[in-house]
Amino acid sequence: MSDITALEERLTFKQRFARFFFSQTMLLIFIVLFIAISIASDKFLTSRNFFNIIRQSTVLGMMACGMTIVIIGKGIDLSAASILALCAVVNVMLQKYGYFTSVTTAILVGTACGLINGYLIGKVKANFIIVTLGTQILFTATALIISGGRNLKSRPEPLFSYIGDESILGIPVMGYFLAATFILFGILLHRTISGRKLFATGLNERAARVAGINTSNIIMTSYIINGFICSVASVVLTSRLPRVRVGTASEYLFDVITIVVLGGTALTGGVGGIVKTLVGLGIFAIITNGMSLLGIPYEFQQMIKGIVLVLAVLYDEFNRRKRLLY
Amino acid sequence: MKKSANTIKNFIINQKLLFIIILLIIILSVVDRSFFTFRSLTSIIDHITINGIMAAGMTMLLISGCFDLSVGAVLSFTGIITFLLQPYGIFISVIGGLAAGTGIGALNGLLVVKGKINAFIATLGSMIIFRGLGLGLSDSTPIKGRIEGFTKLGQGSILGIPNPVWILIITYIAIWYILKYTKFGRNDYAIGGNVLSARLTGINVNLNSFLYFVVVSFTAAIAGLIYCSRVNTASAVFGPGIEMWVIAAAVLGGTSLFGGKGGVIGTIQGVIILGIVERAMVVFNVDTNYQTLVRGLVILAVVITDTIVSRRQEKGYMSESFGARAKTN
Repeated sequence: MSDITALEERLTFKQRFARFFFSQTMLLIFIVLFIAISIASDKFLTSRNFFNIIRQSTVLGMMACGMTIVIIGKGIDLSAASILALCAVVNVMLQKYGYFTSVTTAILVGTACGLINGYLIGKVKANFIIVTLGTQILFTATALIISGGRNLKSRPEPLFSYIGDESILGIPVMGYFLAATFILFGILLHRTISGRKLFATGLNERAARVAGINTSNIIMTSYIINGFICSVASVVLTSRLPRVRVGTASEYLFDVITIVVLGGTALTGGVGGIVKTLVGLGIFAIITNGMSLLGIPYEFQQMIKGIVLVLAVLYDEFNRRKRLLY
Repeated sequence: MKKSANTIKNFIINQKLLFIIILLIIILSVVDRSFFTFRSLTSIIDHITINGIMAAGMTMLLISGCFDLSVGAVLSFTGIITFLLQPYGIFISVIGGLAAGTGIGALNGLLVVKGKINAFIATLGSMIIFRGLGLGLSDSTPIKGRIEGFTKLGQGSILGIPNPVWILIITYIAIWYILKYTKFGRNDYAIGGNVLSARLTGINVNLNSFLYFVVVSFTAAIAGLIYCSRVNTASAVFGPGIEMWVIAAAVLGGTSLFGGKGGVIGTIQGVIILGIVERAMVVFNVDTNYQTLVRGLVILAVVITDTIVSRRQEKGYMSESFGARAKTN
């Protein structure tokens, strides 16, 4: 550890500035975008719109935390949105037995979905992209079969309307969910031994295994945690939207991946963090919000999001090469 | 005696897909009398042509160790460009559509080779972009075809065999030949087997990898033309999830997801098996949602078997080489 700090001190001012600049660009982009959209639309800088942004980005933010963990472990979970949809359907279908049963079952189902992914990827060591694409189809089909393809209407339970509509100290309850998730995942990832093991596994799995880390367990756990947080997000989703449609949930997947990549968590594994994902979420949320405020049609919104995703990855690669130079 | 038993065993193991196909056909013919008729069989083949053509290109890309999730978007985008250009004549519209579709492949290739982006995320991004662009260009409504002659591509037939099937056969022969007898094709296996050693032997890895992306998009563009010509409509939502079907067919046919292994002869068998399974689900009147479920299960089963088999083979090689060393010592 002391060797690394000694190395840091030997850097010249220019090198240190370059390192800072290339690590904080996303924050700068966030600030620039924020100012630009506030000038372009006078509706942007209102507390009403601000709370709207929080409500819109809570589910995405919670899922992005789970996805960050998976991506740091050099994987990706393409079934995340399907787990969300399946849990939402389970939650709504079981509401007649009381919210305790419905929420618990939804969370159990989500965790089980994560376990399936984790077992196949961590233990069987199958290709993570194909596995999660396969389970994506599987979970979506299950959700469609359970719900019969209909739009389900959530019951007006007091708990759900409380999560969805109420505010504490002027901030929506959903905002607290978002904050709690980020703090919890931040601690888990950056302040625990397991978190460090996850970084080591993502960076170089073989080296991590040789160093005595049970890498298959670490990878499996990352998918289980992701399944768990997706199911919690599904509870928040059903509280916000009274109607649950399986098709809408699947759109969350690209958004979640874009958020994580925008923040600067590398798909090559082992590089990233929760604060980065928070910045990515911020950029993504104000881009989405700004596009609807400026009245851009939905199809082109999707296209712009796709372009943002590709540019973010290109930038990430460029950034990595630069960092290697300095 | 033992040797001949081994040969038979090896033959069965090597040709296991062929046996699965025959078994499936026998079972289905027993269950459903109308299955083993010329009409029913041609309808299966007709049904799999679009996916089959794409699977041939995908096999080539998979062998080099990459894959492409944007083939479904290429398929629908090609159709939209073709139909938008139809007022300018059939020739320009077809060429324009093919160029647009192949262009997406070139973009993917550039992003992966020059931008050094993960193939998965680059093709995912271009899938979102071009699905979105297709929706925007078509105002989210299907476009009707204006030229009657264009429908001949998908609906006509030569010598009693539908045109798409001819295209399928030509595609498979062409790619089989390329993979087996040309430098371009042999390089594919070298790159997929080990990129570093391929580069050290003097193969232009970047150019080759780029071209494999172009090939897969070209096949997807042709498939898009056939698709649109068959229904005489173009829509941005054509072919949802088709990329998974295609990858699953190739992997089922023995092409490894890890690169360096496989071929189109296996792929066509994989395509036929998936086609028969889909047909069987229609015969048994399976609900669409359950069909999707079965598709997901098949993909998972295929990838798990592929992983276990390739791991066992690796172990086999290792124990063999250890055995050889022990003997020489």
